[in-house]
Amino acid sequence: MKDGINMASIEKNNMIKPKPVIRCSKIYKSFRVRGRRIDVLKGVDLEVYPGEIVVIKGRSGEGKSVLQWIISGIDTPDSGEILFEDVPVHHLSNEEISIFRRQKIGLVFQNFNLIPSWTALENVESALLNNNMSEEEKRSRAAEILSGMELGDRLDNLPRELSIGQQQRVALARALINDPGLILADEPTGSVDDVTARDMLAILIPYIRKRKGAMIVTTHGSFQAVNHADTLYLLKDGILIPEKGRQDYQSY
Amino acid sequence: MIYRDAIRYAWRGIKRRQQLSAGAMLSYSLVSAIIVAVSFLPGGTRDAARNILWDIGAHSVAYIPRLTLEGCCIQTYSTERYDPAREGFVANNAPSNLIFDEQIEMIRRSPNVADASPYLMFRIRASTGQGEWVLGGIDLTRPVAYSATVVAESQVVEGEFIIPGDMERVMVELEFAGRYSLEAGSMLRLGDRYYEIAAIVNPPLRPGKANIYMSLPALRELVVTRLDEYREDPANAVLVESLGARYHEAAKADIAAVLGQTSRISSFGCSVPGITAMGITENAAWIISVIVIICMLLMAVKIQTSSVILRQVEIGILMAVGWTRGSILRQLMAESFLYALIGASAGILLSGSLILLFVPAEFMPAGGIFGRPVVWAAALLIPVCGATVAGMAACLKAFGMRTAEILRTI
Ligand SMILES: Nc1ncnc2c1ncn2[C@@H]1O[C@H](COP(=O)(O)OP(=O)(O)OP(=O)(O)O)[C@@H](O)[C@H]1O
Ligand SMILES: [Mg+2]
Repeated sequence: MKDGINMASIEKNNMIKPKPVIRCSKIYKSFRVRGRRIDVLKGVDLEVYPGEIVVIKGRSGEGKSVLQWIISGIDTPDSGEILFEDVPVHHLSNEEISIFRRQKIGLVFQNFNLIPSWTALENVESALLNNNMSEEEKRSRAAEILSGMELGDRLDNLPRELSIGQQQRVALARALINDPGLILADEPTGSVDDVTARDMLAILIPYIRKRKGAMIVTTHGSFQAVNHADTLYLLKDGILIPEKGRQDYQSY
Repeated sequence: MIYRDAIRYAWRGIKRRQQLSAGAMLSYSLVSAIIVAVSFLPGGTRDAARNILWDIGAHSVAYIPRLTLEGCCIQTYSTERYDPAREGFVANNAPSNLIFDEQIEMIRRSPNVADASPYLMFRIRASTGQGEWVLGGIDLTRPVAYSATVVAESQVVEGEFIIPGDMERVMVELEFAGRYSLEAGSMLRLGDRYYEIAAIVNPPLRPGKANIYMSLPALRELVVTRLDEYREDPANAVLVESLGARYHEAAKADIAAVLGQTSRISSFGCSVPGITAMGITENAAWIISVIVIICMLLMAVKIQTSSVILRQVEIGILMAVGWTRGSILRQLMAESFLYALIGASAGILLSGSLILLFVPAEFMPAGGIFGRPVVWAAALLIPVCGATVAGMAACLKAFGMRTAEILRTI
C-alpha cells in the first residue's frame, strides 16, 4: 500500500495493543421461522483497532448483514458481548444505543436506505438531529459535505432523481457527517458498478486513514475493498475464519 | 432545542403528506366547528330542544263550547249592527263561552302547570269579500304558553313578530296572506279599524289556529266595538303549558276541575311519546354532536396511525441512523398537535365568522359570540386532547415495529 506503515498491524505485531474500538465475543444469533430454528451466527469473535480496515467476506445468506446490525446495535444478539470502547453496548438502554450509534458509528447500508420522500440534503441532515446546532448550521454542514462529494447542485433532489452512484454518495455523506470513529459498511458496492465502487472507496479509505477510524466492510465477492483490507475474514457457518492478516495479504 | 427540531421535522412531514394532513386537520376543524355551532346556534341547544318539545305537546288549549240549539250565540252579540250568526267568540270553529281571569289564575297556580295565559278568539266578518275571519288575541308577555299552541317566533316567514305594546300591528297566516295578496307592511281593515301587517307567519295546524293574530289588548279593544254588551277583558280560551310531558295528564285534570265538565281540552301532541321524546329531544343535539365529535376524533386517530404505517420505512431508517424513540415520539406528537391547532383554529375561525355573519344578535346568548369563553376553550382543547390520544396511538404503532425487521423489508 502507498501509505506504507499501518499502525494497527505494527502495534498488533509488537503486542503493545491499543484498546480496540470494538470487541465482539461469542456472538450467537438465531431466527425462528415457522417453528424451524435458523442458526445464523454461532460464536463470532472480532476485535477491531483504531485505524484498521476489516473486510469480512461471506456468501449470500451467511449472516453478514445480521452481524453488522448487531454490531451497530440495531439488532440484539441472543448471547455474547459487544464492547464499544470498553462499554458493553447491549447493556445500554434503547435511547443510549441510538445516541451512541448516531454519534460514533457511520452506517452504510447494502441498499443505501435513503428516505425516499426526503431530499438529499434532508437525508444527510437527519443524522444531525438534536446536537445543539442551529438549523442554518446543520443545513450548511450537510451542504458542505455533499458539495465535497460533488453533489453541491443536487441538494434538493429526491433519491429517485439521483443516479445510483449519487445516491450512494448521499448515503456516504450521511454516514460521515458526524465524524464517526467506526464505519460499518454492509456490501457498500453491492449495487454499483466497479467505477462507482472505486469512487466510494476513494472517499472512505482516506477518511479512515486520516481520522484513524476503523471500518468493517462486508462483501460477498472479490470486491476491491479486499485490496485495502488490513485484516480479512471469511464468515462461514456462523463463525469468522481469519483468512489473512495484512502481511499475508501483501505477500499474496 | 429538541422541541424545535421536533416541530421543524413535524412541519416538514405535514407539508410532505398533504392529503393525509388535510384529512387530519379537517377532522379536527369539524370537531371545533361543531362545538361552536352547537353552543351558539339560535338560542342554543336547550332552546332548540324546547322548540321541538312545543310541537310534541306538553301543552294544551282549553275552552268551553257554548251549547245552544240555534247554533250560535244570541245573547252576546249585537243583533242590530252585525249578523250574529257570523260574528262572535269561537274556539275550534264553534261558539264558545267566556273564561274568567280568576279561572285562568287558578289554572296557572296548579302545581302541574308551567304557565297559563288567556287567549281570545273572535270571528269577524271579512272586510273584503264574503265570509269570516278568525282573529286570535295573544298575551304576548307569555311566550311559553302561546308558542306551542298558537304561533311561535320561529314561524315568521316575512316581517317581524309583534311585541307586547303593539296595538295597531297584526300578523296574518301565510295561506290568508296569499288569498288576499297581503305582504308585510300592507294595511288590513278589521271592523272599522286599520292595522299594519307586521309579519306573515306559518304555524302548523294547532288548536289555537286563527287567520289573523294580534296582541290580546288590541283584540279586546276591537271586540268591544263589535258587542252589544260591554265585556271587561274577555277571553274565551286558555293556553296551558304543562310542567312537562310527565305532568300533562294531571294538568289536564286540573284544567277540567277549574273550567267544569263541559270544557274541552285540546292537546294535540300525545303525552306518552312526549315523555319519551322529551328525554331525547332535550339532549338530542348534544348527543348527536358528541357522537359526531367522537367519530371525527377516531377518524383523526385512524388517519394518523395509518400515516405511521405508510412511513414505516422512514421511521425505520431514522431509527437506524440513530434517532431515539424519544425524538420519533416528539416528532409524531408535534405533528399531531400541529394538526389539532391548525385544524381547530380553522374550524373556530370559520364557524365563528359564519355565526357572526348569519345569526342575528338576538338569537345569541348574553354577551354575544365572545360571551362564552368556555366554548372557545373547549373548541380548542377538545381537538388538542384528541391529538394527544391520536399522537400516542401513532407512537404505539411506530414503536411496535422493530428497526431490524423494517430494514429487512426495504
Ligand atoms: N428476521 C429474520 N427472520 C428470519 N430469518 C432471518 C432474519 N434475518 C435474517 N435471517 C436469516 O439470516 C440469514 C443471514 O441473513 P443476512 O441478511 O445477514 O445474509 P447476508 O450474508 O447479508 O446475505 P447477502 O449477501 O445476500 O446480503 C439468512 O438465512 C436469513 O434468512
Ligand atoms: Mg446482506
